[in-house]
Amino acid sequence: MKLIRFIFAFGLTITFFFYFNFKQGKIPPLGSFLSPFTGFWQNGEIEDLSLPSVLESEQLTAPVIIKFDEKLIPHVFAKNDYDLYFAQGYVTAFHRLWQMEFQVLAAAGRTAEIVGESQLKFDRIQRRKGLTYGAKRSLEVAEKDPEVLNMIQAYTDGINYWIDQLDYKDYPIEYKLLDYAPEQWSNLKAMLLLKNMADMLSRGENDFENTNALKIFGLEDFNKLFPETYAVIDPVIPKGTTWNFESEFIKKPDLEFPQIFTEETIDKPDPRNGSNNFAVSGKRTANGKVLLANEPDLSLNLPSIWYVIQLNAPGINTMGASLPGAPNVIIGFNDSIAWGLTNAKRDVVDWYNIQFRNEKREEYQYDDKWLKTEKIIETFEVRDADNYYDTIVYTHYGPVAYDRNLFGENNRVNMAMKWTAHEGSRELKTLYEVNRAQNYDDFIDAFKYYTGPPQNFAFASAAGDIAITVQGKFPVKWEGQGKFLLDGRDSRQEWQSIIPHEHNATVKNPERGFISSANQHPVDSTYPYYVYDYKYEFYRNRRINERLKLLNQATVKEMIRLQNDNYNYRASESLPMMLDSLDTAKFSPDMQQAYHLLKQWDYFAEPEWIAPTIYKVWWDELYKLIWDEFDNQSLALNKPNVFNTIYLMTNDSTNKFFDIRSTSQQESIRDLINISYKKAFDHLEKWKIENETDYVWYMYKNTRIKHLLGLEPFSFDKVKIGGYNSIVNAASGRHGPSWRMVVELGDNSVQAWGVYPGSQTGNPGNPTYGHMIEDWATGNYTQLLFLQSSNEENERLIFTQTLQPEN
Amino acid sequence: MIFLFRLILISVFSYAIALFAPWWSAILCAATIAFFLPGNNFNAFLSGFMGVGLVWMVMSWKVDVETGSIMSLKIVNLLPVDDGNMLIIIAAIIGGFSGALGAFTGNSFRQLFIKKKEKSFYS
Repeated sequence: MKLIRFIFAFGLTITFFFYFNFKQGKIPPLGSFLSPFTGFWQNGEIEDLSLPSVLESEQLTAPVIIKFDEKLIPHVFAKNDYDLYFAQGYVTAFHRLWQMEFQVLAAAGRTAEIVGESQLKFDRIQRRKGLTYGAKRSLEVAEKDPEVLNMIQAYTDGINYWIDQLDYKDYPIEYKLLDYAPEQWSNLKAMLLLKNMADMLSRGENDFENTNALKIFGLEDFNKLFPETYAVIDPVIPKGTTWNFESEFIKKPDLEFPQIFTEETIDKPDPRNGSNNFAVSGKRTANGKVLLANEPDLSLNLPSIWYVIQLNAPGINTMGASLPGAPNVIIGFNDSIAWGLTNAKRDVVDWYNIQFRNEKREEYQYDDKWLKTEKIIETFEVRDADNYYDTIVYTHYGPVAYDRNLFGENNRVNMAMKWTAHEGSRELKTLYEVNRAQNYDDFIDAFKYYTGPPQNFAFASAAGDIAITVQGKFPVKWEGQGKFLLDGRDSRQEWQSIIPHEHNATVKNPERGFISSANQHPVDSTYPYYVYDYKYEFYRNRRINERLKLLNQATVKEMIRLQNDNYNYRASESLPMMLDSLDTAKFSPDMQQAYHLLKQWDYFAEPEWIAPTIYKVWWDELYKLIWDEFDNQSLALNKPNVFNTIYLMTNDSTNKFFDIRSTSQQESIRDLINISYKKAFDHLEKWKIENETDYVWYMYKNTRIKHLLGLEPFSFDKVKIGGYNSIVNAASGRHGPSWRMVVELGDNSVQAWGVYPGSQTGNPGNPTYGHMIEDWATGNYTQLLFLQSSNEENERLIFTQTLQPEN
Repeated sequence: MIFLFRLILISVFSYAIALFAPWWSAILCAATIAFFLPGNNFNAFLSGFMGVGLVWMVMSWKVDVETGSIMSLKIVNLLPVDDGNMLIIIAAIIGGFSGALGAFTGNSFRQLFIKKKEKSFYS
């Protein structure tokens, strides 16, 4: 009897232990998660910052002082490079550990280890894109450069120093929710993080879709729907700039592209990933100092994509936005110069059709030879399931991403991906030197190492120079090369050479007194190389340049105003024509009222206005009607861009595409405008009833800063901000200015202002979590505290920490 | 009396150990104390439940008040729970059951070794 009772008690206890010690479905292990000693309670913080004032590490060679200001921006003062980057790694991990690791796991295609089977397809695609393949090659290159190796190793050591101090109770909340533990950081992870950026910025292409569209519409219509350029473009390098070099001309060989048509393609990076930067020379500013402004438009996430930091050591005093997971400041300034980045769109991904010799896939055809493939069996650990294995075949082009195992359309399609990011890249070396550059020559010299992701680097110096340079590794292409799928059997379809770094388009101190870029065409048609991308920007660049032309007494305030400019250029070029075509006779009073609102609208997408919403909904309906030819197509296609749509509406209004195919009568653009206005109205009325609020712009577009796991209580929505895509203030639903910075440089003084939609801390349990979002939305920038030495006192400093070498 | 004594010991030790050990240390703690201070099983169960449960409740409540409920208000939106106080109660119940089951097991284990006195013919 007693024995039975004991066995019963023991069994019950064991059952209880197992149930609460392990994850149950999506519920985290409740024993540890709800315990007040270790659980989520411990992630709540009383103070904005709680760190010991002294920490010791045996890896340091000299003391490092880290001062935090009231925005929790760390100002790091070290005696040498190693200690500096060690401290950068440590302090970034202190604020952002979970995010750093999670982004790298995603890049490496390892999320199924944590989340489970639902992530397996995502992981497989990540590995097929070859991000780890490229990262490993970058690491090999980095290991040959002692300066860079020292920097990465220090950064890694700093992160691990922090990780080693953590117990379960200290883990960021996301680890507890998903029930896993941080693993050791490595040098490869920093490389993976950079490849992840390359994936976000330089993987955009349209080769499959273009091939499909050419087949469906024929060449004449294809060119009408997807023109490469227009006479009216306003490129990064101002029109009329002369080139002081000659290019080798490559004639298009006489060949046929593969006729391969696909229904499903790998997801593309968000085409809105873009940015604005501009700099104004002293001749055009009110106080004669040089101004530089930059904001990268990316996905709006929490924890934020950027982490602001100041780095000071012998030979370096720089400040700005860094990427958690990689050393250096990416966008920022130092005592002498300031620089800003925007994405330089250019097609650097091409797809080659691979003809395998047989089922074994050990050889593939190349001209009249058979080349050997290399096969790599990828192992995927899957939570709560068996490991999964996927064979990826590599050719000299790159990985065969589309094959019989994924996207291969029943073994008809074998496509190898050729992408500049597959190669070892040295962006860290460039950043290392840019962080330390004293003048234009130092700056431009740093790009001899730079291969990507391609960026438009804006430059300004205290000495008075401004410049912009389009940098990256660009293949020399014959006209049309890589616009469509290419034939991997034909050596003439390979990239023949790379544009020499000194031929990359650059302009220094141009006549007009300012430089700018906003993801538009890099150059006009006089540039002696073929330049192609399927999605250049047409609106933000023109607005910025028009404003800058008018500002001949520019100030910091004007720069901030321009970054927050809500002028909807698109609306200004389409709405007048749309309104003119409306048949107002049969309008209901509501429609009449909306019509008058639009008529009076000055095209500014201000947060609390209604007109921007009506225009957007109307435009979307119209666009859908115009391109109904693209509906119900089984092949993967992209619709023509907005600029071209408006271009055709204006210049070719009798185009056959304006007919709705499902009706028997012949519609004109005028008919579509009238039909879409009614549809827009139905949509808006429905929205109003569903949401129980008026469709003011910020409510309708709903700019939200979302936690990386999509967790609603860790996110912010309905942020009261104007703008939209193709507007300088590019804040759309989930996307927008991820860091805004304005720098003023003059004799012996550098001042900078900045703000971003988030917080230095990544902890949702910190009182400051997301505290800069409102300032970001209203354009209320913080003046950045740029210290000259560790002794400098300032009332905005709230805490000092010393990292001591252990004796 | 021994009930109260056992309860207090379980509270104090489970608290002290929890500062550096995982959550299930409460089970071991209650089991050990119940082994050395046996009683009837119901008494042991109840002292374990209250001993650990109270500590978990007071501690969760303390952290929650100190941090202005910054985490609990967010976590209630992620778990099928209605409000922050419910989280405190659930934490207390889980803590309580670890103490209760631990103590029950420790106590019933001890009872395996206690021989009932043989009834004397004269008593």
